[in-house]
Amino acid sequence: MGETRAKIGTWLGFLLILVWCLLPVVWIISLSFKGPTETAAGSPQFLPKEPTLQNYSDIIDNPDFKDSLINSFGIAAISTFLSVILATLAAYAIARLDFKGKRLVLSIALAIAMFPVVALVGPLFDLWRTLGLFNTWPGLIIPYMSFTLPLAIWTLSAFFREIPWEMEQAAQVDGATSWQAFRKVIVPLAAPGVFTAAILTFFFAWNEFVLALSLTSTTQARTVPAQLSFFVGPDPFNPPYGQLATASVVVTVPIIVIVLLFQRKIVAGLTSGAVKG
Amino acid sequence: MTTSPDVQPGVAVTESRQTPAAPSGPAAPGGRPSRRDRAGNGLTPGWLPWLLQAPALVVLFGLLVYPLVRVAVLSFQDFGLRELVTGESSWVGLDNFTEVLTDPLLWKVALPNTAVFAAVNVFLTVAVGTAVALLLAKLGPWARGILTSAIMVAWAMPAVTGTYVWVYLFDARDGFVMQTLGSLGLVDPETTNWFTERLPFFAIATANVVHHGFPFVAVTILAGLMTVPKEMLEAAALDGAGAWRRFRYVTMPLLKPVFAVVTILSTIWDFKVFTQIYLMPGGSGTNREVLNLGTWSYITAISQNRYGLGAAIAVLLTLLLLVITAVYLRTLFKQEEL
Repeated sequence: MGETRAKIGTWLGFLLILVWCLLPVVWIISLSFKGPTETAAGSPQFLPKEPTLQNYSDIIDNPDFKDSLINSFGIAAISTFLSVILATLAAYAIARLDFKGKRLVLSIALAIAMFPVVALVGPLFDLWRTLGLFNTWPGLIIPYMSFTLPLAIWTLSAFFREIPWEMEQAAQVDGATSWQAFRKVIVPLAAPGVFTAAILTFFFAWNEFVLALSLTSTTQARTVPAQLSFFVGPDPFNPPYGQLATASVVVTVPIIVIVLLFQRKIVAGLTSGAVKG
Repeated sequence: MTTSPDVQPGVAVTESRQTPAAPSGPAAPGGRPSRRDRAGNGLTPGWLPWLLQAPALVVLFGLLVYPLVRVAVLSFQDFGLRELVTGESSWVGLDNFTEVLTDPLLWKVALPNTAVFAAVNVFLTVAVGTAVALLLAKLGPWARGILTSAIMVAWAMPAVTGTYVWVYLFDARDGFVMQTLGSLGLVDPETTNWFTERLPFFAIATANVVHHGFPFVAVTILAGLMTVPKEMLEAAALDGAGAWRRFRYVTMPLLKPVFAVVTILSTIWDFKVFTQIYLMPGGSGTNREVLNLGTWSYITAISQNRYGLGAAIAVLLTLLLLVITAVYLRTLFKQEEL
């Protein structure tokens, strides 16, 4: 009797959390298929009355949105690439080599993660204008690298410590050159960790808002999250909710697909810092 | 993920496990190899670790040191548009700090909106995350997979789009929630606007922040739960301990380090909440009642061009976070010594 009740409770909880997690995403997808008359009325209906692709064609025709989408992809991809390379080198040193000051390096990394981005906006704005980096891709790529490096270093060094490095020597004993040993033995073992760090880095750069908003002035470098806040239609009292929702879907769905595809790796990467598993 | 029973927090993990190459000398305190081992290794030159870390450290230091110094310097200056154009600066000593610290806005609005909001959100995020983790642990592999995916979807939703969803749901007059409650006769949609008042504003922000933050807590604590030996829980159950007592007296003490990590990381994040507040109606400065330290600093510096004053607010926020981080590091390193 008590067991049945516990089971029912578990399943109720299951449904509740499922709905709570998915509702905003499903809601915004439904919104993106609604026409302006429906969204202006607050769209009390959950599903669109007359589904339309109008918002999607509007978005595609919007040059500002297209530019910012290209910026988002380019900036996130380049920051991820550079950040992962630097983090791999540093994490290798932390996980594999023995040296004094390891604790200091890790503390600095943590301090960066702690630092409020808002406090950096003013000085960076000032400096970037002097250096001519304001409203450019490198102007966002550099701070994105700095902010993703700590997480990437932690994640990677946690992964690297699990690698049986003796295998490298074993391969060399068996006649492989050190490059071959690295290439054939270590790279395949390290790849999942590097991949996880790359996803987490890309995720940050793709979603970042404050710096994208303050360090850009046009769609030359502005990314989608910042561009969304400039998404005001002709009537400021009637924002184009449908288009806003559609733009949100366009930036959210790819990241959700990535996260679902690589869920196991991401969860492992997220928890590697906190739990020794 | 293996299920080894030793659970260690954050950075400590990275440090406490040495590579197989490093033999643990008998004199090594806390399991760390002594200096002699290091010197006796002889395979890696001393400069190699630093060469490998140099690029990362340059980027990290470049970002940390320059802006940190600059913000600190700015906070002692009267720096506005004129100074930005001319490049001159005028020192005003502690004027900016005096102005901030004597401003009732700090004590009545910005600080409570930061600290109380963070406290409530951290509590709710950790509580919800723990509850979800416990539920996940009870589910079969199939249901757990589905629910984990749903949780990761909530996590993946960008803060910007997430905020738009919540704003739209609670929109005055037309919002889904307002219309539903209005049709039930619970509120009058014509006269109610939840965004103009402080408490409802932050209640909506809390829903948003907790929704965005609990997935990390849930998956981390679930990973921790997997390391709790089943026999211990079974033994406690045989001794007649109910679900709550098993959680309170077996699981909680074992997972203390994990709880410490998720609590402190959540605290750091929730003190810094910016996007979710800034993008809500009135959050970008038009409603001063809902400013927190982050948005106040940003609006003062960027919108009002009072960079010096904005920097002073940023310094206060940074000091506050520094204290929290120091506590975090102490907790981590203390546990490592155990």
